[in-house]
Amino acid sequence: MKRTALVLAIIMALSLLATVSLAAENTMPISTDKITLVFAIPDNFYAANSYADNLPVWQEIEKKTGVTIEWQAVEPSQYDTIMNIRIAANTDMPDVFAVPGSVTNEDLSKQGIALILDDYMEYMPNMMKMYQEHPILEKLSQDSEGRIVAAYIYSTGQYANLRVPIIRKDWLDKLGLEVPSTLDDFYNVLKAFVERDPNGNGMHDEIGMMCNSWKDYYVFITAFGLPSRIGEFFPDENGNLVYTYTREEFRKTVEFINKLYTERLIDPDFVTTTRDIVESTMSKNIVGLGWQAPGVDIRWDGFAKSGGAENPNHIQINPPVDVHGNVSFFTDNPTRRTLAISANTKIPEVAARWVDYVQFSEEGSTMVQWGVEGISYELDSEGKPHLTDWALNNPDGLDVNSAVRSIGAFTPTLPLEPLEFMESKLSGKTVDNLKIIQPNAQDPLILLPLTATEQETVSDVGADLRTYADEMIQKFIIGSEPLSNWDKYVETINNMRLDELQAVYQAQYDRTFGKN
Amino acid sequence: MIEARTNQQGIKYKLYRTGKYLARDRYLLLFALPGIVYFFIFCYVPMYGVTIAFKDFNASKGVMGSEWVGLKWFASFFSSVYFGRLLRNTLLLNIYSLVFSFPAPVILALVINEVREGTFKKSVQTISYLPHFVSVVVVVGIMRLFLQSDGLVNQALESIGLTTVNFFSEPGWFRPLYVISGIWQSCGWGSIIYLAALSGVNPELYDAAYVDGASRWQRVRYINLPSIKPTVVTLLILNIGRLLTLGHEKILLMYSPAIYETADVISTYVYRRGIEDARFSFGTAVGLFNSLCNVALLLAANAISRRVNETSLW
Amino acid sequence: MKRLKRLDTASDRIVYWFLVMSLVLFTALMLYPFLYVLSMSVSDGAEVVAKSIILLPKGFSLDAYKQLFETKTLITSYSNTIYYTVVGTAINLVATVLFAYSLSRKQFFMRNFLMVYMTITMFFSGGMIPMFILIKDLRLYNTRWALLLPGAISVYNCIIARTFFQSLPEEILESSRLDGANDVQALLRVVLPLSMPIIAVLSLYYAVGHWNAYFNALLYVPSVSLQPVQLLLRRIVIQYSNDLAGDNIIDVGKVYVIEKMRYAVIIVTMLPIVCVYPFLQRFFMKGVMIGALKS
Repeated sequence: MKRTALVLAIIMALSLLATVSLAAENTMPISTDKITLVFAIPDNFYAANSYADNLPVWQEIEKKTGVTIEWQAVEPSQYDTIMNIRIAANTDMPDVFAVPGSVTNEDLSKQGIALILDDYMEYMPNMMKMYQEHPILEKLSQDSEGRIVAAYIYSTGQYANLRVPIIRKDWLDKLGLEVPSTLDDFYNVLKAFVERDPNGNGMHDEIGMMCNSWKDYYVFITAFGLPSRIGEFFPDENGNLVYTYTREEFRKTVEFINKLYTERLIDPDFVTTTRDIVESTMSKNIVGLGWQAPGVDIRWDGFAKSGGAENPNHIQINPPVDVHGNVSFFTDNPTRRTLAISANTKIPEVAARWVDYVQFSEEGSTMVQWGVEGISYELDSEGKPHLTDWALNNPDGLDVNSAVRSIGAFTPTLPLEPLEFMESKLSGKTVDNLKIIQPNAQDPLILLPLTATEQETVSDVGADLRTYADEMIQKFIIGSEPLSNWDKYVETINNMRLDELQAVYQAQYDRTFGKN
Repeated sequence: MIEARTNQQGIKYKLYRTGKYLARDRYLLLFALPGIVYFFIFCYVPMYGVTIAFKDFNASKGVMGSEWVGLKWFASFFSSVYFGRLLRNTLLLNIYSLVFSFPAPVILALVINEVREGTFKKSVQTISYLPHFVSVVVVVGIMRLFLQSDGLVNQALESIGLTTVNFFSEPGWFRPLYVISGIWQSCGWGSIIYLAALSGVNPELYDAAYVDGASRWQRVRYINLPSIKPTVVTLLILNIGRLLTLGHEKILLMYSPAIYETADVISTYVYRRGIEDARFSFGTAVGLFNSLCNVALLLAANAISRRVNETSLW
Repeated sequence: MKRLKRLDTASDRIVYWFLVMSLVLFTALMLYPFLYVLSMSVSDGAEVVAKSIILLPKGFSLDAYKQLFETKTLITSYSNTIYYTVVGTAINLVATVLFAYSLSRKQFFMRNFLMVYMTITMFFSGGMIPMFILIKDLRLYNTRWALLLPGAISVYNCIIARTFFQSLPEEILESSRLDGANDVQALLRVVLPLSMPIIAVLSLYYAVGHWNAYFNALLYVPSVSLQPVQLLLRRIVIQYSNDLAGDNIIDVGKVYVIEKMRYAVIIVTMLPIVCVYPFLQRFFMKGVMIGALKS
């Protein structure tokens, strides 16, 4: 009996060693046996092709890794809701899943939902490499006890993905107007768009400005000295967090949007509009101004053309300058939590190596971002990927992002488009305009994750407070609540336990910047 | 006789009797079994699940294992800024629905009843049932298409020189739209029951009324109305009892944050906070509050009707 | 039952025609939205986008329907709806008929208890969230069963069925018992053949319910591949998503077709029921009557 035990122990030790040495480089395939990995992510943004249909990119990945994927792809808008529920129940969890936003790292570890990755680092060499290059990632991935519970990823595309106003330059030219710079300019341009029939169809059907989401109109805050995309709280010069939506600068912004709304210069349904509605409207050739990332200019040119415009020319421009002539806006957050592995998975090593491969290895992440070599991208002599003509001028008329998504690449788990991808995708006017706006972009705050108690306060206090603020702001804009009641609104907000919410974020801020 | 036996004998007898029944009714029992299981699992277990309104529900501990927190969630709901608004919206929306929707099928039935039998009458009836068979998604979908900013209605408004209206983002429009679409969908179907009651009226009464020189209006007033009164009262009580339960399926399709001010009711709030934000205990507490109000209303309605009309449900 | 025709006074006649006219108007109001949607779905794309149609179609083309039936999402969700309607109704029927029959037998010793057991569920329920937790705990979440099992018996329908069974003449059952038939044989050979009207009523009620339901699917079935067509309709028409087209809406013709598809999908969703209901009306009405007698 003893001997058998000893032999067993030796075999086990050997086999452990074997896996470890194999894993050090994370060579493929992960397994030669048939292994199935259950993978839950938001489904393809290119909705016509679901991941469940086994798209080419993932066929390739299955071939390379030897791991068969069982998809649990959920409609993107429903994903967070559904995963929240499944995580709360923690039964039948998929082996690997994208973590929904409201679940904290704390939840992942304390409730025994996610695998603690520290124990599996040896299987994730590529992730470790990225963590070493961007030390913030490691801190972001940890729960309050310093254990890594989810994979974070860093994008190089931060300064190539700037969200700013996009305007119909051809309309400006036709009406003899300059690119607007001050708030008054913007107002006058919108007025001209609506009143002077720039699409020339003899009808006053133009909509001055139309955005995907109503908060996008907050961009006008730059005219009052705050950067656009400033968020709910921002630090003043002493590092004390300030609530944005009761500030005077913000009141003036709301007042301006209210003026635009009352004079019918913006989308009358701005509150309920969605991206799909914007795109349908764009294709009627009636919208003059929007708010979007680079690349969308080209996409919108296509829409306007389909609506009968001859030479539509959308360009990205700076938001309005303030009284000192300054303007600034935040970029997207370059970091992003992507995947976690279930604590109950039966195949932790496989899952770890698989995540490392698809999200962090050069080969895997290139496929996930760029698609299939020879179809959507090609490598140049230096081994750098470039989009093919198929992706850039898709025969089915898809724009670049949709084209690569149609074969399964560019999943919703990726952060911003990487710089190389943007460079390969963008051309001509988009790049020229991007150069003009880039100097005004600044880094957003990257804060360490909330703890579980903090998150509880946020969802407890925050849910009602945010709903109230959103509603009131909408009412101020629509005019159903006169702006003279602003002080009353500020008072109510202060009474809705704003101080508690603020304290939570202040603690998070201080923790991030080492103040205590 | 049974009282005369000793207690033990009583139990024995009962067991014996039950055994005999079980043997005799074994097939009936078998028939009832799926139903018994169904009601137990899908109705009684969730009823027990309501206890999480008094607990801090934690999925890993389950309904039974979660800790008791007393009335914490109720307190939190009552002190919420939205409490007053939710209650007001729920009550108003339901009262408006009742006040405007309830009479519609009665009037329709009285009018249809006046028309001579024939193809016309039949077709009117058939067509009036149509909207009842259509899903709420279709109804709200059609409404949206009609009322969008460049939709038919707004084009009509524009062509007669009025300004366009954003029907689905202006709080003031929500209740009228909800109520009118409700009438449109249900008044035809609702009229069936009154028509049936009217068809039971003894024709001799009409003849007598005619001989007395009664006008059409008087015949309606003194014959038709009294003959459907019991039906009207019964349905009214039933409707009052259901006052707070109506409609979240339709509201969820119609509302958006812009019109929460009028459109957000308790049940939609339960859905948003409870399901979407996964705050199960809080949501259950709010839902339970809704049900309690509801039971109270039903009892009140029944009591009032018993006193006023001597008609009651039980 | 002779009712004398006595519309002789002039004012009476005016009132009569006024009533008829108001019914004509009423009927038009009932039908107009459907006709409008139908017209939009078959008109020329440019006219649809310009919203220049008022009643009759302008131009004619079925391209939206053609495109719709080439869209995988629609095919999937439409077949799902058919599946839920057929299987769901079958489950409903078996459970309801059996339970109602046992409740209708006067000698059944649990009859009164079960009647109360069932009626209580009409007045008290766990509500949305306990039900939701139950579905999750039973592991029905995101499976087809989540739409088939809850609601297997509607108390209202069960009472209708019970009332019907009770109205069957006692002698028939009595004679079958004398022939030595047990309850199973009595149900199959005697009761069911006599109960076709009530079974028709029940199936129609249940089937329409399944066909039109969306909320349980929204709660319990997140996977698009399992969802019924009502949820697709919600996305396309209520949330105004361009789902059906993917992202490929750049070319001109397609934009038009997508707009038309929003209308076409409404028609396709309601068509089966709208085509069938006029012929089955009398069954539905029968159900209302039995239900009304009871309440």
